[in-house]
Amino acid sequence: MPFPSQIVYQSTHGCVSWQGEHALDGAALGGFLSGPVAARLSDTEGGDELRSHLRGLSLTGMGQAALEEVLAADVPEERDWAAGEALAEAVLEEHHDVVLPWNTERDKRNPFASLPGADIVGFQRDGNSHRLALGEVKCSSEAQWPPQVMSGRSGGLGHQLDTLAGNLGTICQLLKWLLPRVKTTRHEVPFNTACTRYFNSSRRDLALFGVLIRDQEARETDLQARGWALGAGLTGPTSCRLIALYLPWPISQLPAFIQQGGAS
Amino acid sequence: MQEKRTAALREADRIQFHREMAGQTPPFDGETLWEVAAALELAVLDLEVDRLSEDPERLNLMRGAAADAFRLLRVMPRPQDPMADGTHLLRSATLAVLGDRGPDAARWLRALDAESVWPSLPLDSSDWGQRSRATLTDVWLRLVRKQGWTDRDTVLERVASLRDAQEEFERSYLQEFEPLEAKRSALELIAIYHLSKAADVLAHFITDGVVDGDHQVQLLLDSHFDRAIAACETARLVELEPMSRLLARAAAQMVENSIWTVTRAVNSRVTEFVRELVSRGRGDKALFDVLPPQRRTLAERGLLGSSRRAVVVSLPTSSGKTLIAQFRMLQALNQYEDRKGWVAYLAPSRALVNQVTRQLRRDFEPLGLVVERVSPAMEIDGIEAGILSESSREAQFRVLVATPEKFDLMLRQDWEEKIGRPLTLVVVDEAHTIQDTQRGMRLELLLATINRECREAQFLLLTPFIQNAREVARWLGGANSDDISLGVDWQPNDRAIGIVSAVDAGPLNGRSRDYRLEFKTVHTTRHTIDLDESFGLGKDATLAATLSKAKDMGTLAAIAAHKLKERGPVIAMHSRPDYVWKLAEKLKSASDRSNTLSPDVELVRNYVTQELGGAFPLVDLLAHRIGVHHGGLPEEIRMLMEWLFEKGSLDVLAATTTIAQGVNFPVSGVVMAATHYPSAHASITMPPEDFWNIAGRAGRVSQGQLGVIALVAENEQQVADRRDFINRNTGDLNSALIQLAQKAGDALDDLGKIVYHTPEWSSFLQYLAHTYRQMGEPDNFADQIEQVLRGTLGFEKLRSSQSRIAQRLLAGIRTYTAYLSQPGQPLKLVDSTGFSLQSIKTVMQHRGNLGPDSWNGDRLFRDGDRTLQDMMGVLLRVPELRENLNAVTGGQSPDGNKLARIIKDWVNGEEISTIAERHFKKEGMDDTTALTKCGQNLFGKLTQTSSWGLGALLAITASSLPDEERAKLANLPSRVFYGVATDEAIALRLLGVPRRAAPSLARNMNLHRQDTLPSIRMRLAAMSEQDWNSAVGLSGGVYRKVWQIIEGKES
Repeated sequence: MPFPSQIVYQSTHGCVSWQGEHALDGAALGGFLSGPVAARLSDTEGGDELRSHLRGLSLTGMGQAALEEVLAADVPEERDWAAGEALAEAVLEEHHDVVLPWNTERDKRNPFASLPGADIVGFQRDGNSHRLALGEVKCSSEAQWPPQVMSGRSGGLGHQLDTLAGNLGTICQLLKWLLPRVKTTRHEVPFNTACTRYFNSSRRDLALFGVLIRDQEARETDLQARGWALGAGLTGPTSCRLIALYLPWPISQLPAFIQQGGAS
Repeated sequence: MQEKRTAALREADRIQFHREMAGQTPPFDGETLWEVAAALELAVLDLEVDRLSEDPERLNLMRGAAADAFRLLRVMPRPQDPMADGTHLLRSATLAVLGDRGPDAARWLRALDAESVWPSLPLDSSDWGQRSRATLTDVWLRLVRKQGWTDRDTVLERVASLRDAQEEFERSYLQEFEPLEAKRSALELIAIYHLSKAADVLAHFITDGVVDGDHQVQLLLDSHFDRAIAACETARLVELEPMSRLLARAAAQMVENSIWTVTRAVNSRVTEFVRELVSRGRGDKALFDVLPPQRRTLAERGLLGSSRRAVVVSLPTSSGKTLIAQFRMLQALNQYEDRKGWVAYLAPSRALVNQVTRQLRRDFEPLGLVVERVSPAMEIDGIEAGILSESSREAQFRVLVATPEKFDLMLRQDWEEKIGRPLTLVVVDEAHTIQDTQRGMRLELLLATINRECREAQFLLLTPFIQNAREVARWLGGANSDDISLGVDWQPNDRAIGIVSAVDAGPLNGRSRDYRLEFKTVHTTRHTIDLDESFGLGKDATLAATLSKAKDMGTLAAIAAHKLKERGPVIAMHSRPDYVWKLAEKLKSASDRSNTLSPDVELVRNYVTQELGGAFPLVDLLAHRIGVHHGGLPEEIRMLMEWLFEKGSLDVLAATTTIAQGVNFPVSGVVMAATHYPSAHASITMPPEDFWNIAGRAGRVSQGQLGVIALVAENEQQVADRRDFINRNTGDLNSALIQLAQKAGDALDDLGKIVYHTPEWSSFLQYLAHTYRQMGEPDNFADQIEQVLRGTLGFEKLRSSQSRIAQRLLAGIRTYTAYLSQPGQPLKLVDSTGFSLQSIKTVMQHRGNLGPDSWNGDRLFRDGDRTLQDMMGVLLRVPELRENLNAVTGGQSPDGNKLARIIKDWVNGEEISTIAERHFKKEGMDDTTALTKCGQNLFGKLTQTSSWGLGALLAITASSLPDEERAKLANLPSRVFYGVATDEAIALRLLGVPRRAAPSLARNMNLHRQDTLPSIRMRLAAMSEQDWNSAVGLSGGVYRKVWQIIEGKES
C-alpha cells in the first residue's frame, strides 16, 4: 500500500539526495496509517511479562524486591516518537526498498522500541543484492526551517547520520546484535550480502536515511543545509537520502490517527 | 576480504614484533585492523557450532576467525576509559578462548597486571550500574586469566560482594531513571546478575570439578546464560547481548578445557592426580586447564578411554606431552593395580632421565606411587638390584625411568621376570631418536623385543610432529593402535625466526666501514611472524667497532645475544665448547658486572669455586649473569646452569648446539652461531626436530609473548644456507636400519665382520642372538628369521622399498644365524654384557690372565697395580667401546695405561682440576681448555664407556663365580661410573649427591652396604645444613643446597 504523497521538492548533491513529501490527507492516508504503520506499533509488553525475567533470579542469590517494583511499575504512554518512527519505517519499506528484519511480532510487543545507536536498522534491496540500511528519525513541530532537531552536536539528525556513516563501532555492535535475529530466517542471505558489501567496500557500501516528520509548511531549507553538509563528507558507494514528511495535521495527533485510521 | 585479513594479520604481526623488540608501537592504520577484527568477530558469532552436532570444518573456521580476531585486537590501542578498556580486553580474551588461544590471552592479561596496566574498573562505585558492570567485566577477565587460586578466590569474593551491596545501592540507582529506562536498567541488572553467577559457577568448577554436587556444570551455566540473554533481548541491550552470547560460548569452551572435564570418569587414581594438580597448595602454579593439544589428545581423541596397545602422540614442542603421558601412565597402573604392574619411562639422555624422574616424583609421590630411576651406567649394580627387587609392596616402584640402552640391558638380563610384576606400559619420550644412526637401532629393537616378550606391555610413543605417526603406531600395535597427531596448527605463542647479519652503514673513518645488525625474518611452513622489512638491532662498539670486526660468527652472535637479552633470557649457541667459552667472554666484555647477585647465583658460584677453583672463568661469568653449558662441564654444573636459567637468574646461557635436544624450559630468545653438532668425524647438521624443539621453546618468558630465534650469518652464502636450514621439514620417522643397510653395501654379506668397522650394527646382531636364545635356540631359526624381522620397523619398509638390499641382508643374517647356532657360543653373555658375540669373543681371546681373582676391590684402583691397565687394554679392542676410549687418550695408539691412571684418579677422589692438569693439559694449554677437555672426555666418554666395559668384562671373566659372589663385585664398575671408591658413596651418588661430598657424607652417615636406597634417601632428606657441614666441611651448606636442587627438592 503506497504512502499517498506529493513531492514538493527534491535535490541531489554528490551521493546525498533529499526530498520533501506532502502527505495527502484522505482515505488513502488513513488506510496507510491503520495498515502498514499500525502494524508496526502494537501493545507494549505488560508488566507481567517483564516480571517473568525475575524467574530464576533466586538461583543467583541476588535480591528481587527493587527489581520487581521497577518492572511492575506503570509506564506513562509516550508514543509520539514511537509513532513517528513507525511511520518512517513504513514509508521506507513501501517506497525505498528497505527491509526491516527485526521488527517481528515479538519485537513489536517490546516497550523498548528503538535501538541505541540507530532508529532504523535493516537492508536495502539493490537488484538481486542487499546492502545495509541505517537511519535516524526526527519529529518536529517547530516553526523554524530547518528545525533545531536537524543540527546540534550530538542529537542532531545530521550529526547522527555522520556518526552512523563513520563509526565502525556502532555499526558492528548493531550487526552483532542483528545476527542472531536474522539467523535461519529469510533475512539471513540479505544480512550476509549486506555485511560482505559493507566490509568489502571499506565500509562505504551502505544506505543512510534521515527522516524528518513535520507538521509545518514544506520548505526545502528543512533539508538543504544538511544535505549539502553531508554531501561534502560522504562519497559513493554510500548513498544518503533525507526525507521530510509533511503531515497535514499536528504530529501530536499521529498516535491517535494511527489507531483510528486517519483524521476522519 | 581474505586478502584484507591476511594483510591485517601481517600488520598485527609487525606491530607485535616492534612492540616486543623495540618497546614501541610503530604507526599503523588502526581503522583497517578494527574493521577486519569486527568482521571476524561477526564470523565467529555466525559460525556458532551446535555442541551436539559434529562439524569439524565449521569448528575450525570458527576457531581460525576467533584466533585471528584476537591477534588483531591484542595490538590495538586500548581505550582510555577503564570500562571501555575492560570491555575491550574481555572481548579480545573471550575470542582468544574460542580460538584455542586461551593460554595466550591468559599470559597477556597476566602481563597487564604485572605491568600495572590492568584497567582500574570502578568496582566500588556508588553508581550501582557502573559497579555491577565493572564486577562483571573483572570476574570474567579473571576467569580467562586464571592466575592460580588468587583469581579464582577473587571471582568468588567479587560476586559475593555484589550480593552483599545490592540492597544498599540498587534501589536508589533504579530510581534515578524515567520509568521506562528504569525497566531497561532493571533488565540489564538481571542479566548481569546471571552472568556473574555463571562466573561464580565456573570458578567453583575449575577448582572442584563439581558445583553443588553437580558434575554437569554446562547445564547449570546454560540456564544462567539463557536467562541473561533473554533479559538482554527484551531490553534491547545492543552491547550486553552480543557480549553475553560470546561469554556463553567462551564459558562452554573453558569447561571443555578444564582438566576436570578432560579426565572425567577415567578412574579414581586419575581423579586423585587431578585433585593434586589443581590443589590450593600449588598456589599460582595450580593447573586448571589443559592446553588445546592436550584436550584434543585426552578428550577428543579419547586417549584415556582407549585400550590401544600402541599409541603414538605426535605433537609440536611445548604441547605438554608429559602431562598426557602421566594420565596414560596412571590409567595403565590402575588397569594392573591388583598385580602391581609397573611402567617404564624411557628418556634418551641422563639429563632427561633426571628431569623426568624429578617431575614424576613430585607429581606421583602424593598418590603413593614410587618412582625410581636407574642410572645410565651399563650394568646393574647391587644397589640398583636392590631397588628393582624390592619386595615390600609399599616401597615397590611403579614407575621406572631409564635410558633405552640401560633398559634394554635390564630386559635381556631377565629383569622383568626378576621384578615379578608385569610391565604394563612403556612410555618412549623423544621417540624420534629411533632414526638416530648411532643409537636409534637399539631403541627400535628394544621396542620390538618388548613387543615380542612382554605380554602385557602397551606403548605410548611421544614424538615431535612426524608425518607417519600412524605407521609407527601400527608397527607396535597392529590394528590395535592409534596415532594422535597434531601438525603445525597449534603453537604455544608467537615466534619470529630470522637471520641476523651485519650490513654496511657507510664510511666510519679512514678505511673502516660502519655497520649495523639487521634481523630479517624467514618465512616458514609453521606459523611464525614474517615481516616485509628487516629490523635493525643497531651496533655494539664495545664488541665490534667496524664492519670488518663485526663479520665474525662469535662476535655477531654476541652482539645479537646482547641486544636480545634486554627482552629476557637468551640462549646463545655455538658448535664447540672452545667457541662457547669465547662467546661467553665476549658477552662478558659487553655487559657490566651485576651489582646485586641473587642468592641462587651466589650459591652456584660458590659451588663452581669448590669444584673447579675460583679462577675457573665460569665464576666470573656468573657475576655478569652469564652461564655456560657444554659437555666439558660436570653434569651437576650443567644442571645448575639450566636451573639458574629457568629461574631467570641468568641473562644469557652460552651453550653448545647440543643443548637444543635437551631444552625443556622456556627461553625468550635463541641465537645460533652454528647449526650443526660437533662430531669426531664430520659435523652433523642439527635435525629439524631438534631445531623445532628449541624454536618451540622460544617465548612465554616473563611478560614477553614473542619468541625470537636468530641465526647468525657472516655472508650472503651463509644467509642462503641458514634459510635452507630453517626450511627443512620434519618428515617421516624412519628406522636407522634402512640407512645402515643402504650404507653397508657388500659388508652385508658378512655380518660377523661388519661390527668391527661399523659398531652401530652391534645392537642388531645382539637382537638376533637374543631372539635366538629366547626362542630356545631352535634348529629352524633361519626359517623363522623373516618373521622375527617383521617385528622391527625398518625391515618391512626396507623390503618394500629396497628389496635387493633386503634380500642381501636376509642372506647375511642366514649366514650369521648358522654361526650363532654353532655349539658352545657364549650367547648368554651377549645379553648380559650388551656386546655383540664378536666382541665377546675378542675379549675372551685377549683376556690374558684376567680372571675372577682380578676383581679385587681393594687393589683394582690402587696406584702401581697393573690389573686395570690390562683390563683397559682388552676393552680398547672392543668395537663398541673403542672409539670413545681412544678419543680419551688422544687417539694415536691404544693406551690402556693412561686410561687406567685417569680412572684411578677419578675413582680415588682427585679433584677435577688435578685430573685435568695431570692427564689432559698439553704444553701451552690454559687451565680452562684443559678442564674442558678433561670434562668432555671424562664425563662424555670415559666414565660411561669404561664402566660398561668393566661390567661386561666382569661378566665374561668372572663367569665361573657363583652368582652371589659375582653380585658382590657388581659395584666395582659403578665406582668408575660415579667416581667414588666405596659402595656407600655409590649409593649417595645414585641419590644425586655430588661426587666431592659423597665419600665424606657416607662416612659421616655411617652407611652400611645393607642400607636400602629409600631409607638412605629419607635420612638424607632429614639432614640439616649442620650435618652436611660436619661431614663435608664449611661448604657443606652449599653442597646440601645443590643436592636439593639436583633432586628437585629445593625450597
